[in-house]
Amino acid sequence: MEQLIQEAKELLEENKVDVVIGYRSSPLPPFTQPAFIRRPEDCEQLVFNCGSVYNLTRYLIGLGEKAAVVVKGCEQRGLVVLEQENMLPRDSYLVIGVGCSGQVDEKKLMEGGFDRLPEQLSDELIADKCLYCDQHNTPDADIFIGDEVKSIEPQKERYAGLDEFFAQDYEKLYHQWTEVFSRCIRCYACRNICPLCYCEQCISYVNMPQWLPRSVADNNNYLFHMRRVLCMAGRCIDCGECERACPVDIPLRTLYKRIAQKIEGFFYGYRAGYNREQLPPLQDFNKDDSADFIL
Amino acid sequence: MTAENGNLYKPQIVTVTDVWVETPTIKTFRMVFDDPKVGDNFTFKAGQFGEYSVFGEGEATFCIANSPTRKGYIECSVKEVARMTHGLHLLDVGYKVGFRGPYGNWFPLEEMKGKKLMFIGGGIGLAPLRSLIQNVLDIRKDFDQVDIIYAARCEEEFVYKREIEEWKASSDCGLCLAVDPIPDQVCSDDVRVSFIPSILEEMKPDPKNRIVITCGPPIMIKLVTAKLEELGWPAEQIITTLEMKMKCGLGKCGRCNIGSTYVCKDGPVFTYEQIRSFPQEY
Amino acid sequence: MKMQKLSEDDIRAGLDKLSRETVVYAPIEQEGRLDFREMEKGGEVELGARKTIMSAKKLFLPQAEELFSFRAGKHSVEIIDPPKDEEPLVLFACRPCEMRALEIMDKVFNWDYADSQWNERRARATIIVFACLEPLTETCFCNSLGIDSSRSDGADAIIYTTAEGFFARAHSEKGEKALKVFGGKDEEAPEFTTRDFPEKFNTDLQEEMMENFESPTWKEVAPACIGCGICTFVCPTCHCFDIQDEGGRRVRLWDYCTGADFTLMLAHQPRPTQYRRYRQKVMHKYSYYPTRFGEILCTGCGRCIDQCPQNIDFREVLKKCDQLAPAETGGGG
Repeated sequence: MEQLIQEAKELLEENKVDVVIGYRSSPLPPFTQPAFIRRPEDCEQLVFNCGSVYNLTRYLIGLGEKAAVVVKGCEQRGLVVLEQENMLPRDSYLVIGVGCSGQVDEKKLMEGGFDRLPEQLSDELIADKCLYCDQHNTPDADIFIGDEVKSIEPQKERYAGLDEFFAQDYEKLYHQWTEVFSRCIRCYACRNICPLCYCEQCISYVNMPQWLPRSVADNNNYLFHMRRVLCMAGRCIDCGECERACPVDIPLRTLYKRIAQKIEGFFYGYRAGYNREQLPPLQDFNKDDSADFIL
Repeated sequence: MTAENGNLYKPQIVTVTDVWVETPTIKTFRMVFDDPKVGDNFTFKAGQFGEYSVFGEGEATFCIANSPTRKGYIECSVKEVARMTHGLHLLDVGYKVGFRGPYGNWFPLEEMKGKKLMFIGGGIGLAPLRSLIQNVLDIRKDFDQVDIIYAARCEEEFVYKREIEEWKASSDCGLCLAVDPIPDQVCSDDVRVSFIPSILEEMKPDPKNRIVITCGPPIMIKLVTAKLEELGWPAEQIITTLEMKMKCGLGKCGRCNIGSTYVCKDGPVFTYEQIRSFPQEY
Repeated sequence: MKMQKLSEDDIRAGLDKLSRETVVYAPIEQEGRLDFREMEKGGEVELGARKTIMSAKKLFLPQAEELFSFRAGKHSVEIIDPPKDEEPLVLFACRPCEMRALEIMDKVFNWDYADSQWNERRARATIIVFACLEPLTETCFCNSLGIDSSRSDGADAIIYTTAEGFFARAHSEKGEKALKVFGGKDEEAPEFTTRDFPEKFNTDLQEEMMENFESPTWKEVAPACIGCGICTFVCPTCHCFDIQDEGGRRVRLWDYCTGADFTLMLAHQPRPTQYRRYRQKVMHKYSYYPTRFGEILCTGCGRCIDQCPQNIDFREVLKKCDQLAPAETGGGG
């Protein structure tokens, strides 16, 4: 922690950045909250722990200031995609990298009645996405805090269970999802919290034509979520923020992982954000690309 | 007025009886209430607005552009910018439109009686002013000198061209037309090439017993009010009408507020004195 | 004073009976989420000290509500009134914060124009409130705003939970009619008071916030806000709405001022940055509404704190608003 505070202080004192975006403690689960530090003396507030769940890279687009942001391994993939989409040049911010051995699942934390973060993150409390994490240490960091986390054996496979789930009867799945989406309150938290949702005018608000009716009635929610899957295709980095933000527990990652799994299958094992040099499928074309859907 | 059975959001049905193409993007629609009882009992004051709707496209806020002294119909002048206005522009004579209103406050006609009036309009901002101009000219003897200054980007962008001809010919009001001094500007001889603040600087209108009523794009209102203040005009003698995004038009949906002022209820007509006291959120 | 003493069995049997006579909404858990649901759809009613995710507001201002439908041809339009729902409903076990919120919102919905949809629902509903003698969660702050959660004078009936059972008291004829179904017997009830919250907030912020509208502190009040609609939608007092035409109907929909689209016009965007939108939210609740209607548009239920994905604590926001630095001279924000 000392190193983090010290580095952040220096960045501000030397005017290398206008703001340090990190985590500070909070008395409420998950016992941290995003912090926007502008004065060197406030850097004392900075922490990093297993409750530092927020993907802070979300604040970079449109920030209008030079920022240093604490970035976890998974989140760095979002920065790669943003750079590939020409939305966020790499030199417009500084990455404060960390070694992360897992983040807490806030809902499980609250169910367990915890009044503080545990010293050790048990399997019962850890977020699902962390069970198959393959990027514990932030790549391409300008500053790296602490020691690197040594490799941890993933406890499950990224796409585990998806094939079985989606192999179910189509009618059954449709009704199941309809019921799930009927809970949706169209708060757009999933969209607003996602670092890759940066459209100034989201298609859900375009009204000429009104592609996606705004009301929660008539299965309109299904349309919205299916549209969002298309937005995430080939881009989602599985940081899990959408699912964490959802107030009604819609299993969004199931959808976005499924489309990612399909894209990986169609496009030579492509996974968003792992390789800056590998162009995303939407930006690339190969003569050998499968075209069996055309004929 | 609202429809029966108390549903505030249910519009009256009006039929389009005339359409005038003012400019390539602006049309004026004249409409008549389908229900003659509603039409006969409909009253409003100059400055008020209504929520007009194209069924299937949505509702939008427009001022009632004709004077209450001209009975039997309501008019609105609409620039085609988005979905609802696009839908409206597709309509022709005989088509049905929804109308809710009149809403909002109105120009303080009584307080203006006996005074000199100067109307300053920019572009489509002439529409809300026209309601008052027609009203004033219809009861002309109640007022002192009446002047109209109207400017637009170019002559083609003038709205109410036929009415402008009437005002030119009339001895009831003075008229000054202007177009923006942009490169390659072409216009008739009786139209000046000048921004309004420059015209005001030249004219130096005396604020004594005179009221300015102005409407136009936000930047125009800002510059005109600044120039008038410079020329010694007290802020209470400058009246304008504001535009904010509105939905319900009657103070419930929470969208049009500037600070604690609801433009749909406390406005849209305000004095510059009032506007100065608003938080600078406009 | 004497109140109707009820056992848990009395209540459950009573609810069962009521739900067969009329529509009853009560807090029911589904997959770990507690919300007001129709009893008829199944599930056990929660009688314990738990807070729902969404407030009871949705029963009086539905998230999507048909204002009317229409059949529009080229030269004809027929407006069709929405199907009239005259079924009386019972709202069971909402909390004093939610009841208070309804009374606060009655004012805007009857400001000059009476919103018939809102008023009809208010008239049709029998509201039975469960008092809170303790805060439901550590995020509750109704008491800090001066609200006494041991009473709910606007409700039709109130029920107190004790270790020995429930005590119920009707405030109105409707409440009496509903409580009769529960049976039980009259018994002397203890005096019910809430534990005083340690922290009282200064809620008299109207003028201070207006005077300091351009304060640079506004940028620090909630920089983490992502502009979603969660706090607005779970809030029992937020009521701003949108009107859209869709699918042959004109519908009224919940809207949220924290979103960029709220004031976005083609020519102009009055609130282009997030801090301005957040300022609108705070000031609408703590300045504009009290100026107009004499009441703060907040009942301290804490749902916004519970559900905010970025862990923004509205109580911290209020404290910062009590210490707004004056604006720099010579310029707006």
